[in-house]
Amino acid sequence: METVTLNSGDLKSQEYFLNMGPQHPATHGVLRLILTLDGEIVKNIEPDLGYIHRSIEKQCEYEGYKQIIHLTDRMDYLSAHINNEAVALAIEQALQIEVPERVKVIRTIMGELTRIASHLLWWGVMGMDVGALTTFMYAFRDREMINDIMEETCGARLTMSYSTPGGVMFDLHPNFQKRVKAFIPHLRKVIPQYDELLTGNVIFQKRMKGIGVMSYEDAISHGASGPAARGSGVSCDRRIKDPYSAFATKDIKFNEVLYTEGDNLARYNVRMKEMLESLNIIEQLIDNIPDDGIQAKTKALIKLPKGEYLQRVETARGDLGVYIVSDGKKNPYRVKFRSPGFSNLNALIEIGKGHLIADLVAVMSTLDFVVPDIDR
Amino acid sequence: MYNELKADIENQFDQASFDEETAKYLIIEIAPDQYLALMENLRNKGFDYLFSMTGMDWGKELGVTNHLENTQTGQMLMVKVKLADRDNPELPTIEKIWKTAHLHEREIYDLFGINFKGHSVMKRLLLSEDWEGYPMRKDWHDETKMIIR
Repeated sequence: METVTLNSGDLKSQEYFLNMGPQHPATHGVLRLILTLDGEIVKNIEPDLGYIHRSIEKQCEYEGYKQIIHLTDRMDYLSAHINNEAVALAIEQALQIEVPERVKVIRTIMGELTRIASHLLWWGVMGMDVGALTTFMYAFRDREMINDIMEETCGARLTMSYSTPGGVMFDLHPNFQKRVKAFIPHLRKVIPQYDELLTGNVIFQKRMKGIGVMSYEDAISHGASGPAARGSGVSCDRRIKDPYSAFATKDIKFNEVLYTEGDNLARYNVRMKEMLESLNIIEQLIDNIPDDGIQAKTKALIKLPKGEYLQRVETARGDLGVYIVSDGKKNPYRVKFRSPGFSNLNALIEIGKGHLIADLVAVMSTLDFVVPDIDR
Repeated sequence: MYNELKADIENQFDQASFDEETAKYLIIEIAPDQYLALMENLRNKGFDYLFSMTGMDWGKELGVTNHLENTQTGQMLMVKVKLADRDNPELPTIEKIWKTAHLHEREIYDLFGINFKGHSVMKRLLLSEDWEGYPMRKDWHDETKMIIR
């Protein structure tokens, strides 16, 4: 038999394109990336969005202000409560309503619980994305506890619609304080265990260190926000920069978690530490919730005065902006949701280049996309 | 807080006007032909964070509202630009000044039909390639896809 020897000099390679998504387990939803590849190296990324685009902004133009709240749950469903709060705050700002202190404290506690739940889910699926399946089970066990607390008070586990213009829907359940207080030491106890399980793992560290580096200047230029930007050392926490709800009225002490490396591990560490900071915030508030009512007086039909209103809040993913243009009618003239995921996706286009496909999955994970938040 | 900046812009751009309804932000309205120069100027003044770009349909004009932030001082600006030509609206791209404009401009092109000259990938982003019309415009109606009460 004749043996054929291939001379590697004769072989030519060419770039090709590959669809990642829209039905891909690592994109956590229906995000389609059109990759240009050289072998397994990613040369170019072009996002193709809209698989879950429901035109929420256009729908808002036909809805009353109280109805808009329910649409915002469905954007970043892991930060549903904080999205509701953002719209409620924008409307209150426009009407110059002062809500009771109790409402502010409840909103902040709920917001921080939401943040922890979102980060826990991220931690679980992040581990799964890099091949550690155990994390998913642990994270969902703990997230379930938060969901149970939410369910008791809000009646819903995911799309809460709990904040309304002027207050909150229902008062806290009698069990609320007790259950939250039981949850805090539990999470304090398990987070070091999680660190031992995943953070300290050598394989995990090698997958994370030096991958997907985003510089300080790039993070700002890309409009990145939230933990994704704080991993690059950008101080951008809206809770500190322009405080809202209880952050504005109560003297809450917490640290903004900043890392300067800008790689996957930095973004990972920011979220892990942020969970502990959120526990600190809840702990400072849970024992003294004021008792001055859960609803300020609002009209049944809300009409905002003519003008433009912008409200920014810090969701689990970053800087959410609600920009309402009103012409004085019962429907807004234009509503824009500036979602953090949309701008963070812009950063992926650049920092994902030059890596292997498996590393791209890890980078996407640490940027923590929720696709309905990007598509709206 | 914004007086110095305002005087500076007034000197350099004769087609800029200001709206002082809100005390929190400075609102600048600029003519389309001075838009790019103003944005470059603002970037050099330290407005490094393009918070968002909002496509607008004011009824007669189409246009864009940009929110800018200076991450060092916390100053915030709104820059509005209005385009009278509804059939063929065009603006220069600012994706070379702020990278985040890349996706924002594609979204505005998709939903409002404003063409950003010089943009690297001026294609539809959210809707499919064969979609006709620009659904976020106020004069867009679709009897089958919209429920209007």
